[in-house]
Amino acid sequence: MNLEKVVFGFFVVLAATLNFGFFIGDISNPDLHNPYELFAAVVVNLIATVLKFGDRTQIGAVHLATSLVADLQLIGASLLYGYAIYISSAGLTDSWTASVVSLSGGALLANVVSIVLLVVDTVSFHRG
Amino acid sequence: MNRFQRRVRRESVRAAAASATQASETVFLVLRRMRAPLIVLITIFAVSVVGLTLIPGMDAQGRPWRMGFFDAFYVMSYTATTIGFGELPYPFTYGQRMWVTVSIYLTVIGWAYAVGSLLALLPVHAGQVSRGGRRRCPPRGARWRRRWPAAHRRRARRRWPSSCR
Repeated sequence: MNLEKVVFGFFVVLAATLNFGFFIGDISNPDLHNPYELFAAVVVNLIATVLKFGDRTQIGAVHLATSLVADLQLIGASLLYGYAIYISSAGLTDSWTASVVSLSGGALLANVVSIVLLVVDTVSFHRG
Repeated sequence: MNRFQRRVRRESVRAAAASATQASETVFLVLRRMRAPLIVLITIFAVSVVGLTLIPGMDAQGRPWRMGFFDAFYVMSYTATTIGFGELPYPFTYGQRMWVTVSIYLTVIGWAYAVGSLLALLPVHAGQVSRGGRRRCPPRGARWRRRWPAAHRRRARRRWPSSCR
């Protein structure tokens, strides 16, 4: 047992769960998607990305790549959200909400890949 | 292409590959060392922004108003980088000012930690610069002259790279 691995697993899983929490619910209903949860998902994803820096193994590189994809999609989602609220004359309509939530769904897929990698890495770990 | 040309070409290709590997190693090393400061910075930023969106504010007519995430992020970005555009979009309430005071100090600590760690990664320190470039081993014969005083010998030895001893 090793604190660094606990922290790593914690942030990877928390990134995926927060992302899932924002994603779930009717895709075009803005009441079901809390902006605070999106913000938390972005922040935890960024922290998970930074935790993955500097691992030169193959699996570490794929971990970092999936995390970067998730960051890209979540930041895109929050930019769209900001555009809908502050710039768009129609405000946060159903279609804007659907765009934001579907982008976060893409990030969720990347986070799921990340969790699969984590599980594969754990299962294939040989003691000694 | 004769044998000599082929050899030159092979060696230059190998050197380019080695230098690319070296650069990638360096980037990964820097990223690895910057992990802790970056996480501290991200956390401080996130806490400050969430605090600003939660604290009640007032708009120009004195009605209660809350900052959105964009406003809060904008305010924190220009405050943390000491640009300081002021209290936007409406003048702050006292609660907001108290929170911004706390977050100014926190973000300055975060930035100082990050920039300090980045500078500490540079291989050159001030002492080495003033000494004039790379340190070299002295020639063989100059190392152990009996008639040099012991203190001078010790000092000279300290100036050499450790691989010469």
